[in-house]
Amino acid sequence: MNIVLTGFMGTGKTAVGQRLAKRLGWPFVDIDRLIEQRAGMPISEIFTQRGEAVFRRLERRCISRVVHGQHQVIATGGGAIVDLQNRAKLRASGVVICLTAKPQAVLARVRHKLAARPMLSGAENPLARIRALMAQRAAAYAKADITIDSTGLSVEEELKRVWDAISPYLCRSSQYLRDHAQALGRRYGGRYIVVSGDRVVATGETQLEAFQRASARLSGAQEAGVYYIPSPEDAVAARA
Amino acid sequence: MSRPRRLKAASPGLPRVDFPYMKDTQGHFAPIVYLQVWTRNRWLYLQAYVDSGASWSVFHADVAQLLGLKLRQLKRRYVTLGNGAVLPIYFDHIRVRFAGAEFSVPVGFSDALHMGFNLMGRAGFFTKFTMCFNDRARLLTVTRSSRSPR
Repeated sequence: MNIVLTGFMGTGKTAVGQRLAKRLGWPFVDIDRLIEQRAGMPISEIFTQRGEAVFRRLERRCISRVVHGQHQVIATGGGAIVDLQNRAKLRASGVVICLTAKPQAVLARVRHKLAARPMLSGAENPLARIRALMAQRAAAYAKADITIDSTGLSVEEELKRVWDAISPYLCRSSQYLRDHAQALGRRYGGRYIVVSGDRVVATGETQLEAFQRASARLSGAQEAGVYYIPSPEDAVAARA
Repeated sequence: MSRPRRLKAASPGLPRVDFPYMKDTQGHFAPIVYLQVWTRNRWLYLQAYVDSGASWSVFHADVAQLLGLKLRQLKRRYVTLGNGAVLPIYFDHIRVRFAGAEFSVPVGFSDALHMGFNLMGRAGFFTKFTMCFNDRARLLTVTRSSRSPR
């Protein structure tokens, strides 16, 4: 499964995506940077020298390749999800989060680098152009699984909102369980354990007992799960 | 004769969560998933063995306590197991998070359930999701099976 960040320019896709990837221990894939590497030139030059149609074709190809990977944080360009093919592939590869912001907030964030924004460069009224582009893309953005408004939020605040929103899709404690199944089986076979992050915080004969023992050791924000570790006899019965 | 109603297949591009089969100490794999339940002050992950042959989900009775439910105040039903045994089950609707969605689902609680894992049955889950069991790849793919018109 991948986490896909999409949305208008200046909404934090790259900044949040990099931090999210670091927190997850996943690679961060920036589709725009990938396109630039493949084309050997910045996106603004692709637009001026070869046109938007060529850029969009490069974008489709990059997305088609990237979605085959797993456990990646993928940041797309602002217009990528407008393409039906891109949208279908991205949604099939994982959860799509659309980051939004009010037009004035976007302008404030991109104002100093307008030349690098081919969709805005040369616009007499950048704010009006932003509003027009947002209106054009609104229907596509609305198809994201999760939408988060980044207006007025710092990058860390935005990251926290994204993290809270994706937690139902991720389970780090379950991943820990899978990664250490044999060792946990030898030590805790036939018992329930409570795992938070990457450590066992309590054990018990029942789920309730394990959780009650763990409660005092868990802070409010910690993700935790109660898991049964089969004993060899249980494993045989489960398969019957 | 009326035509059988064609089931709507999972549309391409719908959110999908993959659950690798869990490995037991004998090295055998089974479709065991994680879901979250609300325990009065936090969302807690629990495991459940996905059983497409079970009409209802059945969790251990201590999970009811964990959720702050009093078993004897719940609606009691009797279910018949595959071996002919009849089991009293206490039902309630609980709020869960599973495969990226949050919803209410009917769950039975039993203090007679002997296996270690909770059981995820069809009611409330299989209507919302398409479950694809790939035993060869040891992967359960869960896809939301219907969305609002896009």
